[in-house]
Amino acid sequence: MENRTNSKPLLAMKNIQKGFNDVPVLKGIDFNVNRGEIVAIIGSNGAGKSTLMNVLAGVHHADSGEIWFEGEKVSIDDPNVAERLRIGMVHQEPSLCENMLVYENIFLNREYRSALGHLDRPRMRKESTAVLENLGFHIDVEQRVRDISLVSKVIVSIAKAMLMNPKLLILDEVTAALNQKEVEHLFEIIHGLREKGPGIIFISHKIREIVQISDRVFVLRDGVEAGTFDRTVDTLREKDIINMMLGESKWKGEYSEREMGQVGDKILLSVKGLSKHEMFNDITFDLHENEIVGLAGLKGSGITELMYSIFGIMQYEGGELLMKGEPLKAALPEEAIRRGVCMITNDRQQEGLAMGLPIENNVLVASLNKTRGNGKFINKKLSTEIAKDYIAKLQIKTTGPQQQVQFLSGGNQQKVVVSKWLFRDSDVILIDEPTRGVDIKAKNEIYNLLLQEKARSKGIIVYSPETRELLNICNRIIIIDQGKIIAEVHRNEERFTEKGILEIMHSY
Amino acid sequence: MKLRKILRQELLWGAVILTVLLGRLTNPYFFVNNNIDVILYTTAIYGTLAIAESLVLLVGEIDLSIGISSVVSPALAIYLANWINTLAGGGNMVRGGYVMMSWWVIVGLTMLIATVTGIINGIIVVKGHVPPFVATIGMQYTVSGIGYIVTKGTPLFMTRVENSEVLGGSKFMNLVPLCFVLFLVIAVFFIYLTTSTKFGMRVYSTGGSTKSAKMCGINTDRWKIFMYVIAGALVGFTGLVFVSKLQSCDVTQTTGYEMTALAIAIIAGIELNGGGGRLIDTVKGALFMAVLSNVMSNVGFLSYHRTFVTGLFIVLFAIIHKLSDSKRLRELNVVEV
Repeated sequence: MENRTNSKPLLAMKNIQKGFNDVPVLKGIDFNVNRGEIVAIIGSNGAGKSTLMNVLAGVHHADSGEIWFEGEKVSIDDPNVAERLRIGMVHQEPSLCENMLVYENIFLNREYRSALGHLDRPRMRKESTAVLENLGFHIDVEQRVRDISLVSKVIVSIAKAMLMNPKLLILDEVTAALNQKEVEHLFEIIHGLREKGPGIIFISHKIREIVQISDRVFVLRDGVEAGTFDRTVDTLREKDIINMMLGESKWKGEYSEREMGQVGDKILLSVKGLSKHEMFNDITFDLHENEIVGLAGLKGSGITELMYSIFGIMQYEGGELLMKGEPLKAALPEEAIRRGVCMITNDRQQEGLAMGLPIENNVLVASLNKTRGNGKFINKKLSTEIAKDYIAKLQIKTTGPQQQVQFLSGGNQQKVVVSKWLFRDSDVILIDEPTRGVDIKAKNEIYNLLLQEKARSKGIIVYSPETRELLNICNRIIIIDQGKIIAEVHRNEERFTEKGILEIMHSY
Repeated sequence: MKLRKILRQELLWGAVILTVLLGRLTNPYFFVNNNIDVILYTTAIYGTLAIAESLVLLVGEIDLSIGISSVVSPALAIYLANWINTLAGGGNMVRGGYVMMSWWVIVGLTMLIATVTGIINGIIVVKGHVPPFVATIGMQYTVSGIGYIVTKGTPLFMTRVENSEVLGGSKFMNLVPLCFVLFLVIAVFFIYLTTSTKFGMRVYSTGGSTKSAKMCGINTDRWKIFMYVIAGALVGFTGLVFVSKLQSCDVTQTTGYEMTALAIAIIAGIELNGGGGRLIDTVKGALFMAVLSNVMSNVGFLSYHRTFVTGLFIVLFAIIHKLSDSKRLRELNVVEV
């Protein structure tokens, strides 16, 4: 294998430190990239990946440390400086204008035009096609971006970054929404890129991919470098990378065995071979009383779609679903709710709350018949009492039940959504990302709530991209990959640790 | 199949032709010179306002003040000119309702006032973060109110202003109404800008995906305000055409023209969320509405009937556009939740 390291690295970041609000995120990072090299950065959530890249892209300023680019010390004050240095960044969600054509997007803000301002469309069309062909990708550049496939959009985003002939290309989680075949196609293109000379930084959660594509792997843990693997020297093995990412922690969560309690015998929800074309396949498991089951998997595993199909937002196609022994195939969520199933989705602002309405209304909305008291109409006094009750029970920080939820913090908004369903008193609760965008204190309060409901004989199914969260509150974790169940890990097993779960997730 | 595609694409021309046929059917004098002139004049008015509205819609905003602004701007201009004149020691230039001042003074001040109104709209919406619906309706009422206060509801007559009838009433080369020719010039200009220059790229990207446009370094705020300003200028032009043709300036004339402009935009397929639609279609839509309006008044429809018919067509075209959208989405296998 040719030695790609020149004597001078393309990029050298020295002792970078960065903190937010007195909390240190990067604690002295040395990070290099050479020309023609693909370096992957990996680390758990919060390890500092995004922050490091944002410093490089000019979005944040490092508190201390130096950045050297092409042998010269630079100060990247804003994204324009980064662009001038020819550092290109491709983000997770393609930032393209969906309503415009492919070649228009590639040339947006860099259009070819005559002295009078007339756009040179033929030239832009030709060069866009050329840039894409250079990447080994053939697509009709006259299509509207909204009409092309997701992987095409990612490649167009890369082409757009390539237009400035970048010396350093950062690919930030670009494979997040792609399936395996699409990722392979993308990797062919990235490998081809390497021959042309730019240094490439590849950020991903998916260890399998990182092993496939990188020359070097830079592992971040808690704001420091945990280690580096170099393909020319070591064999890249997923197991080793995971070890380095997580250390030997045997952490199983903050709750004692007693607090976690026993799982009940009665089966609430029985999922038998549930499947939906291209989303999930042959999903089978039972949810008991007094149980919290966690679903673990990378984004795109079909978990959200599975939950939607149980709740009635989508419809499953094959298999059987039984709620308390009776078949359930909800055409609308209303039906699922009536049968005792509720769902807290991952988008509280759009789907969980009426932002402009007071807490009170939001809490009551799914259970209006309980607000009648003795009369026919909603009993205002009773309503306010109920709302106040939940505010106290869930410790929602607010000025009162009349405050509009849009003025609450993320964590408190989430608590209002939870209150709504607690008031409904459903038997089965599905939760998609229970603590997304929620501060630590509220996170813990929500965990307590879930355990309380569990103790009341409810059954809860939780999805979270944070394995730690699942380890904290679940009795068992079901690991799903590409729509199929690949493993089930019980709390009392050795493998019920962050490392164990991650190893299973990436061993496929 | 190809024919169906062509039909779908040239829906608007089809609508125009059908309505023209209908016109001839209901009115034996449809193709008489005078009637054609009326249609062309109406197209010029509708068209300029529709282009103004379309540009604002394209960047993802909306302007509901253009109707009233077109009527009030000339009035304000005249009173302003008069006031400045009296301050400078001159006499009253408005006597007994008759305006006695230079036409070009009126033109200059009208354009100024209308453009300034556009600037204010833009700043309130973009920098003040007021939803455009609210901001421009507020402007609509404000401008209307100012109009009444200043004119006290009395009309102004332009017959003593020399050359005032040229813009709205005269014919270019003795063939076609001048205002229509000027409208064509404006239309061609903006169609060219939006399809073949960086102007178009900025407008469509700002409206289609403000976030993405910003990430490319486009100053979306500036472009949104710019559209409001252009709308203001076009509104000023329209107001001058009104005043010239009718030879009077009457703020009590409730035009509802912003709704017509909006209707034309919708019929033309301009997306209300921004970033979609073509100005050439707006022009076709304006022609369609002008012919339709002519047919309706010849047949004797009162304004209520006309509103009803306009409403029907808005819904019809909105459904047609949505259906062709859904078909495309279905072809791509996109799930609409």
